[in-house]
Amino acid sequence: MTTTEVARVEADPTEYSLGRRIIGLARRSGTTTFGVIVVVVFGVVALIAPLVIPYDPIAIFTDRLLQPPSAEHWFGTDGNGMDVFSRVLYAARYAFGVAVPAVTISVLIGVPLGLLTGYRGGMFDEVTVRLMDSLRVFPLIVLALAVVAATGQSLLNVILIIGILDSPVFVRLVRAEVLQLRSSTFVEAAVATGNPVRRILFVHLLLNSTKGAMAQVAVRAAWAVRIMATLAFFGVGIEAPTPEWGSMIRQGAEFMATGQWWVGIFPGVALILLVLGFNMLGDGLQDLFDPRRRAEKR
Amino acid sequence: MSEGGAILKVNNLTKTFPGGSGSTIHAVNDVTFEIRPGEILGMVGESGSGKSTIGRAITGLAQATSGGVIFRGKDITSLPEKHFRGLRKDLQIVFQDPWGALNPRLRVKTIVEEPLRLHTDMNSAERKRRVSELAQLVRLNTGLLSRFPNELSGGQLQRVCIARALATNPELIVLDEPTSSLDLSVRAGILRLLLNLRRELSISMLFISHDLGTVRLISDRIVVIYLGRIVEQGPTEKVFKEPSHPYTQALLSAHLTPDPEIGHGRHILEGEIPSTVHLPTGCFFAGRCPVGLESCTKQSPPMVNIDGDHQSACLRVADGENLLGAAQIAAPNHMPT
Amino acid sequence: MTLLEVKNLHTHFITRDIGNQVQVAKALNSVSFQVEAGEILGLVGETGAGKSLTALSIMGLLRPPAEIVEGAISFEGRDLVNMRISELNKIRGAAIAMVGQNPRGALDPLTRIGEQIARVARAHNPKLSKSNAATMAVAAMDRVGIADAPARAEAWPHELSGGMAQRVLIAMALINGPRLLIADEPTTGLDVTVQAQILDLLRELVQELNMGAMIITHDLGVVAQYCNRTAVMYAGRIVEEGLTGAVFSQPAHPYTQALIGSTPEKLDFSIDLDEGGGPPNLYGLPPGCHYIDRCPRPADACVRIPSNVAISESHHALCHFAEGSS
Repeated sequence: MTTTEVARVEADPTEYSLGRRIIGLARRSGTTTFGVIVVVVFGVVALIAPLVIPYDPIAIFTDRLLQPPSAEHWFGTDGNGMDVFSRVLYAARYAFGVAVPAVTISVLIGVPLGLLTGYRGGMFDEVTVRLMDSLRVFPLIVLALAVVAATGQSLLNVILIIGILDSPVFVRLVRAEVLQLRSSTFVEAAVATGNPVRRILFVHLLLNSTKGAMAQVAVRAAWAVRIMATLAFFGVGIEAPTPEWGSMIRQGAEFMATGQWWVGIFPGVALILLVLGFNMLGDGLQDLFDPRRRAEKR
Repeated sequence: MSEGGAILKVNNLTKTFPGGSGSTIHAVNDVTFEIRPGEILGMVGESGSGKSTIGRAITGLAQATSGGVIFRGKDITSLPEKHFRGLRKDLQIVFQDPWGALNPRLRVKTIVEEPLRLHTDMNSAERKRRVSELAQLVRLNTGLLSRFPNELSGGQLQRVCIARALATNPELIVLDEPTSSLDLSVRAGILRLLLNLRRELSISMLFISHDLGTVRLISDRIVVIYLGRIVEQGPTEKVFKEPSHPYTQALLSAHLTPDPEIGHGRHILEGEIPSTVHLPTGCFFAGRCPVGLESCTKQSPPMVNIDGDHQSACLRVADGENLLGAAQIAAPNHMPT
Repeated sequence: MTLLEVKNLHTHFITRDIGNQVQVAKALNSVSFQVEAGEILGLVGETGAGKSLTALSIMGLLRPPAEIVEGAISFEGRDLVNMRISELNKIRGAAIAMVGQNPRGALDPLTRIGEQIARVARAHNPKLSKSNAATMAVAAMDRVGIADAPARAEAWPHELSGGMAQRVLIAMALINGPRLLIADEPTTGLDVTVQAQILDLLRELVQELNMGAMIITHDLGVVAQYCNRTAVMYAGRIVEEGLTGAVFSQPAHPYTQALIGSTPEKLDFSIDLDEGGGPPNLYGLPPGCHYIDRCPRPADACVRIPSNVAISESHHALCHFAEGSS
C-alpha cells in the first residue's frame, strides 16, 4: 500500500458505529438529513395515527361535504364528508404497510437468487438473468389489473406482485458483487478451508455482497409507495372507503375542476413528500455504503 | 499417517488453461517431485514459472490437465470437491495476500475457528480453547482475536492465516509467497515463526517464492522452476553453492545481495521469458542459454543426477560445460563512490 | 553540482473523517536531502515511510487532501514549490523525469508505443515535426536496449512484457535529456533477471549522461548494489543518510540496524528483532522520535525530537544515541 492509501484508509475508521456514521453523513449532506427526517416523521405518524387523528378516517359527516380547510377540519372534507386530515395521516399506514412487506419480499427473493446465480454461473445464470430481465419489462399495472380481475381485490396480492416484480433489482445488484467477489482470495481460501457451497454463499458471500442491495432498499421503498398509489388511483387493491393517498388523489382530481383543491392536493403533497424522502434517504445510504461516491462529492 | 515415504508425490503434472482466442496457456509442463515428512521444500521461479499453479493443483483449487498428485499414498488428482473436502483438514494453504485472504466481515476468532467447525465435532468451548492455543502458537496477541481483519497489520494478518491453516493439525501446508507482500521487517518474524512451527509440530511445507534469499533461509531442499518445468532440484545449500543448471546460475547471479561489499560479476540474461502459449521446442531455456547447443533445442533434457539428491535437467551437465564460471556468479564488488 | 535540494519538507494529508472531524496525517516531516549530478541516491523504507510521497511532492503531483505545508524544494536553484504550473510543466518530463512502478499501467493502451514516446518529445518542443519526433523515439528505444526498435515502435502496450514496458517508460523519461531522474520502485513486480537488466541500464545512463538519479525502493539489495548514497526513511522522516557503504557497514539508527538485520542474508534468529507491526499511524505520530514505539532501546530523551547526529562528514542519523556501530 502506498502512503496515500494508508492515509486515506485511516481517515475513515469503521470503528464508528452505523448510527454515528449516519449522523455524520447527515451533517454533511442536507438531502440525507431531509430524507431521514421525512421518513422518520411519516413512520411515526403511521404508527401513532389512530391515536392522534381527530376523527375516524371513514366517518362520514353528511352535513359537511366538501368543506374547505377550517379550524375543525384542518384539511377540509371530501366529497363523502370524510375528514381529509385524518385520512391523509391514516393513509401513511398503508404506505408503509405496503412498502415494507413488498421490499422485504423483494429482498428475500432477490438476494439468495443473486448469490446463487452469481456464484454458479453457466447455464443457470444465463437463464436466470433472462428471466429477471423479462420480469423487469413486465407492465406492472396491467399485471396487477389482471390479477385483481382473476382473484378479486386483495391488498396481499398487490403486495406480492410489487415484491416479486421488484426482486430483479436485488438479484442484479447482488449478482454483480458476487461476480467480482467469487474470484477473490478469501473465497478461494474459504474453499481451501473446506467450506461447502452453501456456507460460501450464505456466510462468506452474503456478508460481503449486500452493500449495494442495502443502499437500494430505501429507493425501492419509494418506488413501492408510488406504485401503490398509482394502483389505488386506478382502483386496484384498495377499496373505498379505505384511506389511501392514490385513491384520494383520484377523487380529488375530479374536484379540482370545480375548485375544491384541498381534496386532492393534501394527499398529493403527502405522497410526494414521502417518496422524495425515501429517495433522498436512499441517495444518502448509497453514499454511505460506497466510499467512492462519497469521495467524488468531497 | 505417512509410511516413512513421501507425504506428497507429484508425478508428471501438467496444467493448461485456455488463453484468449482459442490459444492455450501451458502453465505447468510435466513436473515431478516429492515432499518428505517434516521437510520444507522451497519452490523457486520467476513469473510464468507456474509455481503458484502447482500449489493450487496440489490443494485441489485447480484441476490438473494430466499427471498425478498422490497425498499420503492416495491419488487425489481428479478428486471431486466433495471428496476432497475431507482431506482439507490435513492439507492446507496460505496465500500471498493476507489482506485479501480473510473475509473482511468476520472477526479473527471466527475465521480461525472455521476449520474446527467444518472438520471436527468440537463444541463451542473446546473450539474457543483451541483458537486461543493457536493464537499463542503463532505468537498473535490474543486481544486481537475479537477484532476485524482491517484492524490488523499485514504481519498479524498473515499469522491469522497461518493459525487458520494449522487449526486442524494438517500434515502439509502449501505457502504461496507468504512473505512477498509484507514489509521487510515483518518478513523476518513470519519466517522465524515458520521455522519454529516446523520444529514444534514436525509439519511439512511447500514454500513457494521468487525471493532467493528467503528460500535459502527457510528450505531444506529446493526445486527451481522455469516455464513450468523443473530445471534443478536438490538440498538447498548444495544448489546455492554449486548451481548446476545455467538458469539457476543466472538466477543466483541476478539476485541483489543487500551488502554493498558483495556484488556479482553478473551474468546478464538476454531477452525475456518466453511466452507460455508458444512453448519453445526442446529445452525451454535454450534460447537464452549462454552454453546452449543445437541439440538442446531438439529434445527436452532429462533430469541428470549430479550426486545423490541433486539433479539438473541440462544436457551439458554430463560434459561439465554447464558452468557459467564461478567467477561470474559471485565476486567482491567495488562500487564507484 | 547540486541538482535537487529538498529542505525541511512537510507534506500533510488534511481530511475529514466520517464523523466529520478534521484529521491530519503528517506524512512527511522535516525531510531534507540533496541529489548531485552523476550520482544515484537511494531512498529506502517500508510502507508508510513516505518515499513515494516525497517524489510526488517534488514533481508537484500532490492531490488534495495532500499538500505541502512547509519547506522548500529547489531544482538547479529554482524554487519548485511556488512555481507557476506553466513553468513547472516545462521542467517536468524534460529536465526532471519520473519513472514509476506498474509500467504497463502508465502507458496509454490505445496508442502505439513509438507514438507515445514521440508525444513526450513534442510536448516539450512543439516545433518538432512528427517525423523528427518519431526518429527521436526510435533512437530512445534503441538507447534503452529495445531490440529491433523501428519495428517495435509499432507495438501496442498490451503486447509488451513488464520489463519491456519499463524500458519504454525509461525511453519516455530520457527523450528530452533530463538532468534528474526519479525512479519510484522501478523494478518492483519485475522478475529478478529483468530487474538486473533495468537497473544496469539506469546506472549506465546516469554515468553516460551525468544525470542525477533518485531510486525509491523497499529493496535493500537494489540500494546496496546501485546507489552511491542511501537515505533511510521511517514515518515521514529521514532517519539516516550517508554513503551506501557506510550506512550498511555502520548503521547508526536502530531502524536501519533492524532493517539490515532482517534481510535473509543477515537474519539471526537468536537476537530479538523489531518485527514490524504495521505502518505507523500517520494520524497519531508520537511527538518526539517517531520510532519510539518500536525501538529496542528507547529512553527518556526520546520524547523530544532527535537532531541529526553526524557520524562522519557524509553520514548522519536522527537519533539521540547514534553511535558509529550496530
